[in-house]
Amino acid sequence: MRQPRSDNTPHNGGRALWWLLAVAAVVGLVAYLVLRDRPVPVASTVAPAELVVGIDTEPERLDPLTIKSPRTFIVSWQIYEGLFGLDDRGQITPVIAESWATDDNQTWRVVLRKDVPFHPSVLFGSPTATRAVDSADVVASYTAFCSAASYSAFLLADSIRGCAEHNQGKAAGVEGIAAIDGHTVEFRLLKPEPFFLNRLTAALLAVFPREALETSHRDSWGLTLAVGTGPYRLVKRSESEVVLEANDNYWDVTRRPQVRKLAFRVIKSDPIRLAELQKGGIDVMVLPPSLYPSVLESAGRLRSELANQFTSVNFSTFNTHMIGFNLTHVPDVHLRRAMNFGVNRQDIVQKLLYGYADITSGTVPPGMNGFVPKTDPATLYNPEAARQELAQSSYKGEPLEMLVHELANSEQVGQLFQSQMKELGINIQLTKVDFNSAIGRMVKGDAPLFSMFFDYVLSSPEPILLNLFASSKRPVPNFFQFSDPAVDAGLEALRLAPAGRGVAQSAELEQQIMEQVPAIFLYRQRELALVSKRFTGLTVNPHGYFEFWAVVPAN
Amino acid sequence: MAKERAIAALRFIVGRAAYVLTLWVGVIVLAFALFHLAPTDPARVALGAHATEEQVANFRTQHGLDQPVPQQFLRYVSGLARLDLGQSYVDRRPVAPEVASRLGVTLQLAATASVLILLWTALSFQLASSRVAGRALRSVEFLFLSLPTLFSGVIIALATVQFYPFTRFAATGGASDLLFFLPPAVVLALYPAGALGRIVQQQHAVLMRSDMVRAARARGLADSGLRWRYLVRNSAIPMTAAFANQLPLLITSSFIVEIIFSVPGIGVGLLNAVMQRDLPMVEGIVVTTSMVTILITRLFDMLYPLIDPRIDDRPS
Repeated sequence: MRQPRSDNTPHNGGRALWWLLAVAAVVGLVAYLVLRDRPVPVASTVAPAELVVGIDTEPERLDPLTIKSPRTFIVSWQIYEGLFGLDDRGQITPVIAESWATDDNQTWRVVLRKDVPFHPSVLFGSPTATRAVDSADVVASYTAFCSAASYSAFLLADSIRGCAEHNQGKAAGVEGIAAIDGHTVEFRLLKPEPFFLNRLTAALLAVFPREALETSHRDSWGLTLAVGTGPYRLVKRSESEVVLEANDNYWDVTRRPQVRKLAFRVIKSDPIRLAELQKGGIDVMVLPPSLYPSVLESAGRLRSELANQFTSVNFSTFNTHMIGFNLTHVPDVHLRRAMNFGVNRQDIVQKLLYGYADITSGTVPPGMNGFVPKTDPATLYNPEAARQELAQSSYKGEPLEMLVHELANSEQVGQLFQSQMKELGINIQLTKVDFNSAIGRMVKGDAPLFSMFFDYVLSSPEPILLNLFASSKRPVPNFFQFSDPAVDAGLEALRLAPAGRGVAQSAELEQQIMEQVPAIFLYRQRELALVSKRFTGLTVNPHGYFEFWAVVPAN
Repeated sequence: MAKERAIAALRFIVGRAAYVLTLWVGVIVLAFALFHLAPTDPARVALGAHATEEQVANFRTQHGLDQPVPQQFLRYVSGLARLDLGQSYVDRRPVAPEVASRLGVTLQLAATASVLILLWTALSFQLASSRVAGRALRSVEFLFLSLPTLFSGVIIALATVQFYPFTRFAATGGASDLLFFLPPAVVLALYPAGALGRIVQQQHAVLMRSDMVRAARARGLADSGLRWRYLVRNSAIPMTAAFANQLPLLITSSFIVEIIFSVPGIGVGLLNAVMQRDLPMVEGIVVTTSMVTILITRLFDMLYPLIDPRIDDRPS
C-alpha cells in the first residue's frame, strides 16, 4: 500500500526545483534565440541606408492646414515646401517660387518654377503618377489656408484681400489670390506690406496638390497620404513611426538626399530615447533640457563618453521666452520697469539651460533679420535701478498673480523669477495651470502676469510687432492689452517704409514699446541635437528646418 | 417544458444585456458631463492662441458648442448609436477609426500580459507545495506587488533598450510586433501575477488541508494527480474571479506602461487628447474603453456556470 506524501517532503521540493530549472532553461533558450542575431549598429562598418530620428511625441496629422506645432516641422518640412524659405542667414530664398515682383508692395506677382513635380501618389490616379506644381495648386492651397478649417489663417487673414471674408464663410473664394497664367500667381493685399514675403516663409504655408481637397481623400489626407514637393516622400505612417524615402525626382538636384530612408520613431520617455541613441537604435535626437544634467558637463560641453559617440549640433530658432503683463492689471510702468531691471536673466539661463540660451531684452529674437541688441545683456540686470523704479511706483506689497504652465520651463522660470522679485520686495504668487488654460485666461484678460513663450513663424520684425502690439490686435494676440496711439501710427508707417528701411524702423519702434515694458523678454533658447558619428552634415535653419537632405554617412 | 426553458434563457439574455446597457449609459452620461462641464474652451484650444474671438465664435457654432448642453448630449448619443464618434477638434480626423486602431493595440498588450499572468499563476500553483521554491516564489510575488508600475516600467524599459532587439513597433502585425509587446506586457503583468500567485498558493494550502484531499490521499492518490485532477478544478472559480477583478487594472495600468514604452495604444492617445483638450477624442476613448471593459467583465461572469454547472444565477 502506497503511503500518502506530505506536502513538504524533500522529494516534492526536488521536483519543484526541477520545475524551476526547466522554466529557466526555456527562458534562457528563448532569450538566446532572440538575442543571437542582435544587430550592433554602433560598431557596424556598413554605410547606413537609414537615418532614424527619435522624437518625443507623435507628429500631428500631416495636413498643412491643421499643423500647429513647430515640433511637427521636423517631419512635415521634409515632405512639403512653400513658395519661399529662409537661407542659413535668415534671408528670404525662393523655393517653389522662381521670382517675384511688386510695384507698390500691395500687389505681388509670384512666378513659379516650371519643373517642380509632386511626389508620386494615388491622388493623381495611380501610385506612380505625378505632375508638376502649377498656379492652380498655389491658389487652392492659399485659399484653403484662409478658410476656417486652417490653423494658419491668422497669418494671412489681415493681409490678403478677401481672406478674412472667406474665413468667416462670407465668400466662396479669396478675392486677393488669383492665377494669372499656369505659373504666375498674384496676391493682392489689403494694405501695402514690404514684408509680405516674410509671411510666406512660414513653414505652415506649404503648397500641396489641389486634389487633396477632394472629399474622397478627406479621411486619409495627412494620415496615410501626404504629398508635397520636398526632398523626402511619405511611405508609411503609424502612431509610432513615420517613414520617409528619398524623392528621386526632387527638383533641386543639389539638395537630393544622400540617405535613402528617413524614419522618425516616437519614444516618449526622455531617458529611454537617450538610451536608444546610445545603443544605436536611433541616430538623432533633440535633447530636452531635462536631460542636460546627464549629458552635459557643468561648462555646457558634452560629456566625454558621449562626445566620442556623438556630434552635437547646436541650433537656434525664432523663439522667445518672456514674462508678460496684462497692462490693465499691472498699469504702473515703474513697477514693471522695477521687475525688468530686477530680473537676473543670466542666472535663469545658467540654472535652467546650462547656458543654452541667448539673453534678450526685446521681442525680436537674435538671428532674425532686424534684431538689434539695444542693450548689453550683462547690464540688463540692475538691482539699483530696480529699487529706484520700485520707490517711484505705487506698489505696496500686494500679491501679484503669475500664471505658469507645464511647457518650456515655464514653472521653473516662474520660481526663479519669484525668488528674484522677493529679494526686491515684490510679492509674486504663482498659479500653475495647463498651457491651454493659461492661454484661455490670457485671452480673457484674466492673467496679471504670465510666463509664456512664442515660436515665431514669421521671419521679419514688422509683422511680429504689428501682431503683438497694435491696439487692433487686442486681446489676441496682443495679450498685453498694450495700446498706444503713437505706437499704432508707427506700426502703420512700417507698411510704407522704403525698401531696406523697415527693419531699422522696427528696431526704433520696438525700443519705444519696450520702454513701457509690456513684457520682460528673457531669452531665446538654443537647442542641442545629438547626432551619431555614423552621419555628418546635419544643419538646422532658424525656422527649425532640419536639413536631412544634407546628411551623409560618415564612412 | 422546452418553451419554458427557451423563455427563461431569453429572459436571462435580455436581463444581462439590459444590465450592460445600463452601465454603458451611465458611462456615457458621466463622461459627457465631466468633459462638457470642465472649465475649458475647446474652441479656443482647437484654434490656438492666434485666433480672433470671431473665429472662435464661428467654431463654436459650426460644432454646436453654443447649443444647450442637453441638445449637445442628444446629438452625441445619436452619433454614438450610429457608431459615429465625431471628428477631432484638433486635426479633424475621424475619432472612431483612431480609437479602434489604438484600442486594438492596447488589447493586444493586455492579452499578452494575460498570457504571462496565467503562466506565472500556473508556475506558482505547481511550486506551491515546495518549501524552498514556494518561499522564493512568495518573496518574488511580494516584490511584484510592491513595485510601483512607473518604477518597474522605467527599469525594464531601460534594460530592454540595452538587451532586447525588438524595441521598434512596426504596426505590421508581424512577429516583431508581438515581441515588441513582451517587455511592456511583463511590466503590466507584475502586479496581477503577484496577486494571483499569492491567491493560488493560499487556495492550494487550504485545499491541501481539506477533507477531500485527505480522502484522496487515503485512496492512495499521488500529489501530482491530485493537484491537477482535484485542486485545479476546485480553484478554478476563485481564480477566474480574481483574474476578472484584475482586468480593469490591466487596462488602466496599460496607460502608464504605454507611455513609458511608447506603445501607440489607447493610453497614449488619451494623454495626447487630454493635453490638447480634444473633447471628441477624449470622449471617444473613455466611452469606448469603458464599454469594452464592462463587456469583457460581463463575459467573464458568464464563464462561471460553464466552469461549474452548479452555479446558475438564471431565473428559475
